[in-house]
Amino acid sequence: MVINAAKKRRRIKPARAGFMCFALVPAFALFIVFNILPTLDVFRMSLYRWSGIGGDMKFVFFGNFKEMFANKVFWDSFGHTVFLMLAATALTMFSALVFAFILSKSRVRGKAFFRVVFYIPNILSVIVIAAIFANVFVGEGGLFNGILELAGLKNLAAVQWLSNKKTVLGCILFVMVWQAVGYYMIMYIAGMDGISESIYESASIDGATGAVKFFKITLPLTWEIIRVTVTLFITGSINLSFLLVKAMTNGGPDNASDVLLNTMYYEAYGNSNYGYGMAIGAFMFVFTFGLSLVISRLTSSESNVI
Amino acid sequence: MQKTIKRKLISLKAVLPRVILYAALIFFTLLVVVPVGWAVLNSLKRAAEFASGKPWALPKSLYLANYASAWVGARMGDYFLNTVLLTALSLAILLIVSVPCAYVLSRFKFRGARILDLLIMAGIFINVNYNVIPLYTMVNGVGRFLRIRMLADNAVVVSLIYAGTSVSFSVYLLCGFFRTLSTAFEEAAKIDGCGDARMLLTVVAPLIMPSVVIVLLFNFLKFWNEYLIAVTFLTTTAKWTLPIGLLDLMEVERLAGDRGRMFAGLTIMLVPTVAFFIAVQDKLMKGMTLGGIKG
Repeated sequence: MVINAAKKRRRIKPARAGFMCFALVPAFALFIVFNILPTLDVFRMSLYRWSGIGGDMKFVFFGNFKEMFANKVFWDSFGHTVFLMLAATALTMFSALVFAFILSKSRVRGKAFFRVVFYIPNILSVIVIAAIFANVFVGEGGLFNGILELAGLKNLAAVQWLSNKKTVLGCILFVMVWQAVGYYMIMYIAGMDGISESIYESASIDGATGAVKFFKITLPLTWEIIRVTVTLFITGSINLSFLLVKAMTNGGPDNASDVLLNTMYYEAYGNSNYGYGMAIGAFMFVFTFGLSLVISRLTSSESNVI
Repeated sequence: MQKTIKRKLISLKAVLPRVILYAALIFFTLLVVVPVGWAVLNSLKRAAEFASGKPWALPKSLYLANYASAWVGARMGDYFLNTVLLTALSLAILLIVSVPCAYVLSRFKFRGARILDLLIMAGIFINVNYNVIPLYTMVNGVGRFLRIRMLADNAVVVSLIYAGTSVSFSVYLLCGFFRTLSTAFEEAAKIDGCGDARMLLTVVAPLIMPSVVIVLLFNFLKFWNEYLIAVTFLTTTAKWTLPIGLLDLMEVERLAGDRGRMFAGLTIMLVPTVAFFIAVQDKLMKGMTLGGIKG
């Protein structure tokens, strides 16, 4: 039997080889052409100066990167990107864990209803979300200012939330958390549902309160899922902040809400500064990948896990 | 007397945490429902109602002219059809390409299988937000080479790209499903002399169907909602999808102030997704926790 299997592995019949080609080639062709090649191209083109439309490409080696690191707009955008990433991760993770705990381990009614409603923001298009909140936060006729006025906060109700440099990032942050809580909540619920009820019961007998149960039982036992989601948070928040900012403010007012992927898109597509845009893209790619790797290492409970 | 006070205190202590729990749940429910519901209701308001200074007020009548204006005037009807076709074509390509690939990767043993597995895993980390512009340049470069003007501005090309950006995650998910599937039926069919292609189509496909449906549900939402690739590639108005149409309505609203029409366009895009979600939410949430990662 063993010999038989070894033989099979070495020699594949022509009919089977044909079938395998038919099965593998289209999928990997699509994958390589539309994923791998353009990603490699980001790194290659980051070494050139080019308008993106035509004309000559000039090899400048790390010239784009040098220019990038000396640019204030780059560092501002990087700061916004990191701020949104950290703040959105912290707020989303906290809310998602708390709501998951409530909907999985307490005796409230209507659990199925709350799960569905909380998940709805996640299925909406980023454009729909951007359109809704651009109007919620708009100065005149916006829902947020309307509510503030009803609450008697006349001074605050005059603020143009999205065209004010001090408040625009806070609005983007709110929308990011709003969109993501339900998704992570469902993932955490799946992890918490796997924890045996008997552990909680014996803790109750020992007099543990809800908060103690949450920190001493639920968190340690869902750690593996939390660990996976941290990596998802990093990539997810970088992508979401870009898509939201592009649709809601396009980085404005005055770069106050610009994030790096948006700067990249603008430089390469709108500003005919292709190589410089790709340098930003390459930087972000390495930054995200490296950060995921580092966090994954730091949070792993066993040393042999990546 | 003292006893009853004590009893009341105990009951208050027991009830208070639950009140806080419900308050938190209802607060977040309102946070979700109010902005979405407000936007939908706004689609029924007249221009004068927007200028009244009472944004929280309900619409005075069922003013449906906004919908006519969005559907016909702003061509959201055309974009709706475009989006349906583009989504359907992308799903069809994705299905045809990824099911056989996952089948071979998870069932056959051959040299290089491990490298292909690793490639698929690496693909999950690649995101189109980083490489959409080189992709656009590349497609137009191929177009120039083949002497096709504006190859990027083509729905078939865009649907190939949609399928291409989803293929690694879908194959990854499907491989997971295939591994949990018993090989007993396949072994029985093999003894009867069933070939590989017939095996996939008649024996394996019916068994894997429920998992394929989950993968399709996820990708349906992804393709239906996608805007970055669409707005970069589809430059001719007649080829636009709903998200580009809505983006344009937002732009026009900012300049010309037609709020009712913008909210009607928003509702046209929102209602099918929410209805679809409520119909399939059970499967979708179960599938999400099975796969564990989002595409």
